[in-house]
Amino acid sequence: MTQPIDDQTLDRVAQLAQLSIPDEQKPSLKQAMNDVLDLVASLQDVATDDVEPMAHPLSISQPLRSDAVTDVDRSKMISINAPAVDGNCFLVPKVIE
Amino acid sequence: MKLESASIDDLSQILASRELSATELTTYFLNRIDARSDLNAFISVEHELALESAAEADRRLRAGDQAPLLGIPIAEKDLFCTTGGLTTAASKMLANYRSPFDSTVSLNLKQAGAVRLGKCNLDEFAMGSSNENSYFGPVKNPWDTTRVPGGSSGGSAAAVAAGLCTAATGTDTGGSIRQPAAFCGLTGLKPTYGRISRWGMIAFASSLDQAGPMTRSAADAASLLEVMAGSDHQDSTSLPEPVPPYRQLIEQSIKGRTIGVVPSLLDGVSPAIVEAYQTCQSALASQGATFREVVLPHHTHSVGAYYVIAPAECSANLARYDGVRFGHRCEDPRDLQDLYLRSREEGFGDEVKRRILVGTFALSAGYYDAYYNKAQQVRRLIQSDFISAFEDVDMILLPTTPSTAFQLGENISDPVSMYLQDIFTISANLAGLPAISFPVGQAEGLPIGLQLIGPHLDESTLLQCVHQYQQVSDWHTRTPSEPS
Repeated sequence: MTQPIDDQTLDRVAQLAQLSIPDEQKPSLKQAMNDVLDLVASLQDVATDDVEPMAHPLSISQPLRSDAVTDVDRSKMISINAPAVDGNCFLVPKVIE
Repeated sequence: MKLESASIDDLSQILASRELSATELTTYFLNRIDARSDLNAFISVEHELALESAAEADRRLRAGDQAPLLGIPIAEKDLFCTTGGLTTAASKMLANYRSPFDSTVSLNLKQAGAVRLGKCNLDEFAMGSSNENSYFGPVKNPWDTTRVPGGSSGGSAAAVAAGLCTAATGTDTGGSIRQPAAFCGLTGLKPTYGRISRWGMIAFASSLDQAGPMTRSAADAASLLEVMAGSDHQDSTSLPEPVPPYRQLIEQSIKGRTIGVVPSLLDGVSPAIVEAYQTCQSALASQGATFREVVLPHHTHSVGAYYVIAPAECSANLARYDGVRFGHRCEDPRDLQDLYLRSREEGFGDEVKRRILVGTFALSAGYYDAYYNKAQQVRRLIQSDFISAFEDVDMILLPTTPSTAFQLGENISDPVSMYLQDIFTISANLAGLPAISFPVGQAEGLPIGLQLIGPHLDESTLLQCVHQYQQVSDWHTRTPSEPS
């Protein structure tokens, strides 16, 4: 089977995943991904015509609850984990020039 | 009686009779944890919190509280969010993360009176089969410290096996409770998907993840499951069915139960495990169980389906780690894009990155149908095989692993050979079924585990079968030797 991950595909997937990959790691990463895709290639041999895809092990519907506020204010507990905050705002590098 | 290998029932009796206080018991186990830091089983040992919980347990004991785990020393996999300390998922990304809330599992255990001693090591974000993918370093197997304890719940397994706690929580996405239980000589139960709330359990692959107990015996597993299980309004996939009295039900005989076997799946399994499999069959037969061959035609495709679906779900779940609201942030980002890219590159380990990339690829335009959709169709066939088999048998007996615990470093550079370690455990996750691993022998001093898989929500029968087996075997009572 042809190897699905080439340099261009790796760069595109890394961009989609928002991961920067150092150049020196690209060859081994490409190989590892192709090895995994090779492992899963045998799925193509399974006859699956008319088989409904199974996204989830349970066939249950989402329960509904009354539309009421149940959460408590945890903003202080949440902001202690933030790398940079100002009051109740998360700080990020300038977005609009 | 050795406290470190005593059962929950025995410790409850000791505490209720005031032979020992919960504080004394907690101190005893904390000292043991400190003495075995070489195993690296814990990411954080919560001395102060544990002693506070123990003092509270003592107050409740004095007040005549009958809570089922009052004063029992446990450990939690560091994938469960807990307040009061750190919750890291063994990742640099969350190395300093303080959860603002407790997972439902942690709260349930706390309300039942359990004393948490600390948070156990694991493969980063529960991705791995050897516990070598932890940012905090690998865990060592107490039976042979040159070997892995299994993964991803390797710290939990090592902690229970070494007698550093009485029981521990684990999570199982593709075998992460059962494989380390097998490698460390424990009883490990992955319940039916939805039996235990996933609220506050850091997500890896949401349609596969499930919490469960890791204990020495089925009786202890039943006691823990009763507390951990149940419907939870915080998790819409938690099941509404009432929680049975597992601890009582396991006392029933297994006479007349039919157990399925799949001889073709034993090809390639180590001879010692095949021999243990046959010996275990004889023991169960002597208790009145009968055996019948069943077929699971698509079982061999489990690994393929899993390593598309799990990475796909992982890539979506781990998109939340962007360095903005919590978690690792790179130094001096040039702009927002640079912040995302470098924070994620620096914060995630190699295996996590591989899975994010494979999953992103499988979900990307042009490949979705060939990979993700196809894997979901095969998943349906795997589930259908089990449904058919359970028309003829009550449960199915399989090995948990193809071999006993392997050497540290043996598979770390070859992800595919590591993935194949999960060949017997993955199918239960794909089908959402309960499965339990239990110790049935040893080879060259290393534990061997077998696995029973049961129908939807039939944890009782699995626990009952293992409990009855443990009445006529002593593998679950054996403990590794300790350094002198």
